[in-house]
Amino acid sequence: METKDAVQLDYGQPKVNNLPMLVVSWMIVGVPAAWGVTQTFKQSLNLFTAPPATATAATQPTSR
Amino acid sequence: MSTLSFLDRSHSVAPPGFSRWLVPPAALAVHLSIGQAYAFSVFKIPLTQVIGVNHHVPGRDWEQPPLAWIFSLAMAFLGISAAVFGRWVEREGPRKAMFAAACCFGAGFFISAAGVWLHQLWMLYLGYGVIGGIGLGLGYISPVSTLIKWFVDRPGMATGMAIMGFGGGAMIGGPLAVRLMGYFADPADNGVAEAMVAMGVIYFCFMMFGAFLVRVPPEGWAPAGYVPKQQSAMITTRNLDPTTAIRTPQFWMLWVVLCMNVTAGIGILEQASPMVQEMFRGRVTPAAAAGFVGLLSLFNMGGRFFWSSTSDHIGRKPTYMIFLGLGFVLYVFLPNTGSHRLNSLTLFVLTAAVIMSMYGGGFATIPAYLKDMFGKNYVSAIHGRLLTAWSVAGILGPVLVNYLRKYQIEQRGVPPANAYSFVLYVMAALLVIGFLANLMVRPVSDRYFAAETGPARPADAATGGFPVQAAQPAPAGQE
Repeated sequence: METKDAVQLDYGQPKVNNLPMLVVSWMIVGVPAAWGVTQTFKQSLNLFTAPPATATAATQPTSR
Repeated sequence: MSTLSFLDRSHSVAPPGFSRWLVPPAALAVHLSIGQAYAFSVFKIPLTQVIGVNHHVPGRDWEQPPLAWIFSLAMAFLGISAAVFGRWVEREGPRKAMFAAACCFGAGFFISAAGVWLHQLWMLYLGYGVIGGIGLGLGYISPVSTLIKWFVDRPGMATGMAIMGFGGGAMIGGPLAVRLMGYFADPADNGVAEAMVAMGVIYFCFMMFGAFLVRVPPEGWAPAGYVPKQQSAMITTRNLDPTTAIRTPQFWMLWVVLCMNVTAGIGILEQASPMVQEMFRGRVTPAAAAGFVGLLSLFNMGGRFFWSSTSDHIGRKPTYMIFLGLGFVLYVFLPNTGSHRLNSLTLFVLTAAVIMSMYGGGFATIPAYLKDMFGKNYVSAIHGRLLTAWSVAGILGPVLVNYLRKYQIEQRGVPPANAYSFVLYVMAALLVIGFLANLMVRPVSDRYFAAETGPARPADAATGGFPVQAAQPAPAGQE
């Protein structure tokens, strides 16, 4: 069991020397993900900010 | 192939001091990339204007119906490759699988771009549809087992995080493609081929980042201070081989659960934009409806993380009871929010958002459910086979919705705004089937485990627990 205990202590826990790697890795995936979420969030705001369809239709030029 | 030996499972075992929190970004890099598939529709119109550049030239430009097959093929090959290559992924390890996924997904874009330049549609079918689809399947299942082994204390959260990336991938892929096409467009070219090449390069590099970062834990590793919870009968400590797993009733019950949950969810996703416009006629513009679809995507993505993390605390079976039970109530309630009854857009949006969160949650929680049922050693391979339920639902959902709605309007004379009610009731009935299937999930019988050869040996660590070909006896004098 001594070996297994050593394994448990040595692996998996964030170490100080891992911190820059952790920050950079999470940023590499986090920044594009945040950008995508922001784009979608902006788009979803249309649901609450767009004028009612009837108002929009009234402002549309009529085609004959 | 010693130059590629760094891809081997044995070379991706984590060194001492490695933080397991580096594995989720590796998984996310892959899932955020392949999630682009759900944004393929942004190419739909530009692909019909390759010859005309900014307008469609009938007879010379591609029409939309044959183009729709590209996405369908990609989804079909996602399911097929996940099922077929699951064992290979498990045996060779996540790094080689991610590398293969990156090559296929990137190559899919390059071949498709060549197809656009040469105006050969079959090249898009082969490129994005077949080869890219194989990349999707390999990429989808590649990090699952590894995450579960690293996060044995929180498997739901770990796999939920990765699968959340798949939901989020479309949010990056859509705007990225639009911007790239805008950047490369000129009066003689609408920029779709160049955008595809650029996306192939970007996604290949992004996925390779994941492949280089991912590590498998050493055999027998567990988080420091980890004490397994008091064992529930619903969580096995043994491991079942994928071939044996698919012979169990539990596998097929979970297959039905996933299939019904996804079919019902697709029913909403497929019709979200027209549904909100027709149920609230005069109140919701197409732009607002697009915003509604975006909002559903956010809940679909967030639900993947929220529900799978919740399942770590309340258990997988109760989590699916909520998806399917609460889902049933919400599907029945949804038509009542329309303008002919409660006339509450807020209630409609909230109800649909919760439904979508549970749709995403169903995808994200299933790997942890499989781990509970069949053990952690072969989750990727078993998960790959279970994803055939997704492929079936991908066909069943849209067909059911479109056929039922058309039948209601054309045969029974139901007004379009009310035709959704019947469709949603049918979806609710599907959830009842899923609920019953989940109710019938019991611990896997000992006789299936008895058929196994026994627990994985430490020597199997390098092969992911798969038995290796028996070693040849060493020549005399070399023992």
